[in-house]
Amino acid sequence: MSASYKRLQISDTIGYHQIIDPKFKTNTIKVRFLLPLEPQRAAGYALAASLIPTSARKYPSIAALNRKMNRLYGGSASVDVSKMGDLQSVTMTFSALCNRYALEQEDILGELLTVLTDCLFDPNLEGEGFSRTEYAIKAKDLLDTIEADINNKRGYAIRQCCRLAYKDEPAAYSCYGTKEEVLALTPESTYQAYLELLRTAAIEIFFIGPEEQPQVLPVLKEAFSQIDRVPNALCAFISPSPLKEESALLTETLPVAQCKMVLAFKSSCTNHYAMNLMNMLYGMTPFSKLFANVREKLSLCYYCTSSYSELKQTIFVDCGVEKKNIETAKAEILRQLEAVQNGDFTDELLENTKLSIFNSIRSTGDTQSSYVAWYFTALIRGYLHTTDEAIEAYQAVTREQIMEAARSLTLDTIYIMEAAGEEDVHE
Amino acid sequence: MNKTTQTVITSQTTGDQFVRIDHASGLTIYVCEMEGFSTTEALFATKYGSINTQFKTIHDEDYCIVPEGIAHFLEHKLFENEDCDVFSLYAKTGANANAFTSFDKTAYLFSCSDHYKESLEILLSFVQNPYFTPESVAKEQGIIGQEIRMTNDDPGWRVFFNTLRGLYHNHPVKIDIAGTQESIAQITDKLLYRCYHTFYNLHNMVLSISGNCKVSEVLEIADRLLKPCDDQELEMVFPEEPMTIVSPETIDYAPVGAPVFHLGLKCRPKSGYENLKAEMEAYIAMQILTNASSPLYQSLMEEGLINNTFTSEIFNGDGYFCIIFDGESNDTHTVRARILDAIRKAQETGLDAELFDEIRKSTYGTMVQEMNYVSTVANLMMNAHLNRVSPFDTIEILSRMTLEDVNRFLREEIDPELSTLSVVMSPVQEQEKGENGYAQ
Repeated sequence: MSASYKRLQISDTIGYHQIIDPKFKTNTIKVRFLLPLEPQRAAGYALAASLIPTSARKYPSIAALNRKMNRLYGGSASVDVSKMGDLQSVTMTFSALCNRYALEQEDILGELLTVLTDCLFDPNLEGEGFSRTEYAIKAKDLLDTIEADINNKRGYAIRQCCRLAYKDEPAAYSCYGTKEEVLALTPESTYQAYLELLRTAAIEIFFIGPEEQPQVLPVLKEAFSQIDRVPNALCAFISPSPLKEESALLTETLPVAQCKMVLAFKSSCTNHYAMNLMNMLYGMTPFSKLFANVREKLSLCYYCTSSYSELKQTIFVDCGVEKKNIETAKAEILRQLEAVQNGDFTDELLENTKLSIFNSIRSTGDTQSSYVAWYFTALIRGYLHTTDEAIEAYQAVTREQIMEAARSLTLDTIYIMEAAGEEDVHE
Repeated sequence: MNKTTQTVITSQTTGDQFVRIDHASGLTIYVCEMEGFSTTEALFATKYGSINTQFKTIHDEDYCIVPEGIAHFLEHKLFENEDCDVFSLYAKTGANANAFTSFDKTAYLFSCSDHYKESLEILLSFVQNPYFTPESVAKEQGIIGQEIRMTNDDPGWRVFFNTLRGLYHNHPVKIDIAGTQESIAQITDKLLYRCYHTFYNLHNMVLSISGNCKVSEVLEIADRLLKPCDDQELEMVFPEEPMTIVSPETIDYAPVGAPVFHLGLKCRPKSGYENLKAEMEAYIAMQILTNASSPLYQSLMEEGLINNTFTSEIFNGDGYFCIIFDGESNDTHTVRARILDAIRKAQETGLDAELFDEIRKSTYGTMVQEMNYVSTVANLMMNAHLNRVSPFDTIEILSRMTLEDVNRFLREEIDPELSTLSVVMSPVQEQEKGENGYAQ
């Protein structure tokens, strides 16, 4: 039996994607909520969502729910809060081993479904709000996550660049909210935020497993029918970021050993196949223009890579570099972009970049998460391609289209993290 | 010349199968054909990492001592052929290629969904054909210098190495994998060749390949490209390591949110099957005592002493074995006291039998799930061989493990006195620190 995909409906406002592939050993259900990313609400949704797959009335503590998941052969219940362009995405994942691996013939999937509905629809409440004990734990987790923004310097540099590049757009805002917004929440207001999330978010549910499980859809239909759904109108998935009249620069000095530089380029090109290929050829592979020149030829950086946000039509180039080499690295990054704009790249480089992208497309389906990403991207773009069709579309991209995509880029924002006192130490 | 032999290895617990090939060239090859997968992953690895700083072969009179970070440096340089960069060869097949160096191994890998045979040819060829020059060594010093600076800015990396330096007096596990700016400046092309010819001997290596591949095809390429070599009877030396710690506490400063900590517990090192068995017993014991289903985790969370970053791991290899708890906390002294108290109490009373059954069941499920990932399977086969055990030993040890095995490990192998606390906090937190602990 080969893999199959079906898109069904839980209700008028909730999509259900069934992905069957016999090679998998686990059943996974992902419930994805999509909301406009709004400063007044993001913290409440993030905190509420984190309370859902960690306890429930029947399992009233983190330890109690985890013990239940241990008994389901290491099943997992987790939440991921992220930013998707101008949207806030909240995904709750429940996953466990297939019944055929149960040592004592337990109905693992049946129990997993019960845990899911218990967590989502029968949460751990106290009065009109979430349990105070569990609320305090998750509020602290969220505050610590916000404070730990600085821990990963590379990620922090990119996020700082995003904040400035997307200034006055929802995408500039954190999907976790701010410390002050979290501190202003209460167990009651957070529970209200959760009810609002259930009522107003766009919802897409994914089931992935080795064989069809007819009991899943009716259970979810019944559970979600309790909610009086009034979904918000979502802003568009793809929301290009407008170009600034003058490019912006932010320099921060921190006590670090290595400086970081991030350049954000905005694009007006809507051909995402050409943009993706151009981005890979320019700076994403270990044979790209940036790797070959900034790292290998000039030895300026350990990493210097580009990444493409299709949703914001923005390309970021980021690198770690010594203070004295910042300007040289920047000049080389811009010089290599100019080279791509002028068609100064070999046919071999273009063909090899295509091979690299085909390689990654053909591996879609080897993990459950790659299936979900593929079908969710189809939803974003409004059309579903097979992997063969996607490969054909990339194959058809010409050298001129790559040059055109590169020429659509304009430098919008520069972020530099300077190492405090680097000259004193190293010069 | 030896003959090539094949053995099918089957898990008694899950029925999964691997093929082990003892190749005439001296190389051991593991293959796992995984039906329904598009991806192939191959790892060509040598038992050579940052801890292997002192060694000799049958051809050497004296032990050779090399600069710190040289195994990692060699890994970078092997990617350069006489006439081109190895990435440009992989570019023609579309494969995604990489390499990594850890404490006790260096691995070269690729993953692809097409043309795996061509990529395997590239992998086997370039790893067997080193090309180092003074110029290319000088160029790499700049790149690796930047890599060292990058990791110096990673609080997780710093807190980890400070833990190892707090636990180990002499063992080279305490040195940074990439070395230092000073140590890599001592590396020459001649030293690289010496290390290469010592450790990149097929008897000291393994090829592990999983996913969309066939044993017969792998064997045909191996027969054609592997250069037979003699076993050089490689001898490693590690300095004597006393069973004491270096310091009970280290504090370091860097820009971070909440203070980041590691609590390390030094245990007696073991090797081969005994090492794996001890690792599994330590893992199960720590899961029972401190994972998210434990009463200790719940109470530390309720009291605001830890957050959801808290985990534990067993870190072991040639001559080292320790248990590490890591997380973030504003009161790391109390967290240390509570964890060590829980261990002492369990040493006296034994672990909870019900939790033992649940954790064992959960670990079994996780191991079955891991067999569903092409990359995990390739890594599992490689690690098992380099650690001198069979790939299914882990799950078989788990299936036979009793509560008494784990209690015995706790009683006999763990000494809470042999612990070190390592903390990285921001300078501001240090200023706010009270008399009896850290900032609240």
